[in-house]
Amino acid sequence: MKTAPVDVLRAEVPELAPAQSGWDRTRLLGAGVLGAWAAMFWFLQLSGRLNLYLSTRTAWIVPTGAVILSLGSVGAAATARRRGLATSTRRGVVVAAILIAPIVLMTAAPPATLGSFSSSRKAQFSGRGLWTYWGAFDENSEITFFFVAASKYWEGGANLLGRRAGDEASFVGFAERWDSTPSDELVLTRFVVTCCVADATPISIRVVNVPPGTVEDDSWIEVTGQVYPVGQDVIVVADSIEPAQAPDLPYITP
Amino acid sequence: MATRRTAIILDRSVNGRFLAGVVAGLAALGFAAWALGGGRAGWLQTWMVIFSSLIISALPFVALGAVAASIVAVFVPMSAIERIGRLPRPLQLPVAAVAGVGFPICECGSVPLARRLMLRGVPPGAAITFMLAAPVVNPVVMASTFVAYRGRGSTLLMVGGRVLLGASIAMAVGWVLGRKMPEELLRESGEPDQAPVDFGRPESRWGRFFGHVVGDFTFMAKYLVGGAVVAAVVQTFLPQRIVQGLSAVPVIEIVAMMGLAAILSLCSESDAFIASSFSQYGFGPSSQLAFLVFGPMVDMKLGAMYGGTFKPSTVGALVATAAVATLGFSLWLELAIG
Repeated sequence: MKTAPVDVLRAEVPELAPAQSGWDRTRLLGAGVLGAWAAMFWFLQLSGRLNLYLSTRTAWIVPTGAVILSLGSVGAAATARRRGLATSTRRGVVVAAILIAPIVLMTAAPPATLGSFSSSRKAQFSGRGLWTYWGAFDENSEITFFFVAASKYWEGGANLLGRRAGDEASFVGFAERWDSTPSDELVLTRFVVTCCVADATPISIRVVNVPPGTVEDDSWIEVTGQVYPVGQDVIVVADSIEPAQAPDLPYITP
Repeated sequence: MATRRTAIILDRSVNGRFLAGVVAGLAALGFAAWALGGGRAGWLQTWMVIFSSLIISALPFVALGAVAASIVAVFVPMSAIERIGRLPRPLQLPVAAVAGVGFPICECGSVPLARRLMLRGVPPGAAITFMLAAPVVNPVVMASTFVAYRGRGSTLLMVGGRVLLGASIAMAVGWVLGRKMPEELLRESGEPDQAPVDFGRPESRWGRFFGHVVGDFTFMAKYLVGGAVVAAVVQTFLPQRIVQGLSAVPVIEIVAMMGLAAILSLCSESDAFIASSFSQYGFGPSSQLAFLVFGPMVDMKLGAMYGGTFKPSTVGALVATAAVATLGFSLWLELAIG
């Protein structure tokens, strides 16, 4: 039986013959992904929400990323009209969706910081190296979370805090209670972040003389009271415990 | 009259229904994040914050790595690449390790660059040595290690040891894997970073450059997202104190710190602060150095990126060689310093 001749080239790739310039959809899709991330980084920068994720030391990453991604997106879109063939596949669309998904998560979820759930699973920040590096702790230094951390892990710091036992100090942090915390105490915690929140380590201070049932876990409070070193621990005998707004910089950086 | 026709082949399966499904999936994800967020579940809030911070801190470096890789692909002349290839092999690896000093970029950026270097003909051993050494030996990492350990009496040991051990282990892995050809090591990407069929005038250099940027970025970033998901889960639930009791057990203390470094997936510019905090649990300098050297070479987000870049056998050999070399060097150091 005779069959009709088949134009093989035209049958398999019908669009091939009159190849003209067109939009490279793969590149356009990539430009869209880069653009979405550029917008996200600009949003983080302009809204100040970058402080929820990075330390002040590494905050430059966000504007740098915003610029690189913006340029990449614009450049890719500008060069997307070209001669030749390009394909747009399900796989490419799914990859784009995977790359967009974190943006959806970050923008849809309410702003949040690490709290007591994370603190209970982290090793405490060791302030030993900071003691001599900063050289800022002396007889007249303000007693801060870093001062407390240095005194817990450095003999010189412990001696200095010992000489200042009973000094008044104020601390802003979030409240938490450990299994061993009595009902008239709480633990005041602040996270130290050096690069991003993934490296957060807590500094915790025992607060005593707390009216039971007045402070909820993970609520931000300002505690004012006298500071005393007790062995390797540091306690604050609270004079006042006031609710506080979460600081603009929820994490502290050495 | 000539008619203008668009020369794009659309995959028949990418239709409106498919796109609507993808958009609906993203919308459902956003709704779930909104509904479950706001502190309603401590573990979810912790996971979201850690996952987001991992992505935000790493993605610009992936983009930077994609730009550097694209410069190598489009603008660096073959003659420059060939010069590296002409170096004697014993010299290639130290040169590649030292080159990391001038490339202050996180590990997420060095993977796409190393891949592109290999594709352009840089000997695989040199490219892999560079990929592993750059995140450990660069000046930013040295400075952060110095700050983290200053005042402990072990500053020089930690900074110098990190650089020397990092470079040595990177060269060891480069030596082992450098015997193979690039096509034996690299996975076929299946990604559209290859130029589409071109008829007539070739695309401009800038066109090719941005094509590579898009291709390399999307290629690497998807593995970063996958790795960050897993790393954030582990960080959320794993108590760091789990290693506390192991500090007194020789060898195991080093293995424990290597394992912890791999699952925490920290940036090499901040991990020294975490490593130093393990002094309180009794971990000595050699196990902390193992943490500082192994982590930037092998971790969960890197594992995903390696998996997308290299064949499984290459990833296995890379991880095994890096682990054995780190353990060996750390044990030797422990014996040497007592």
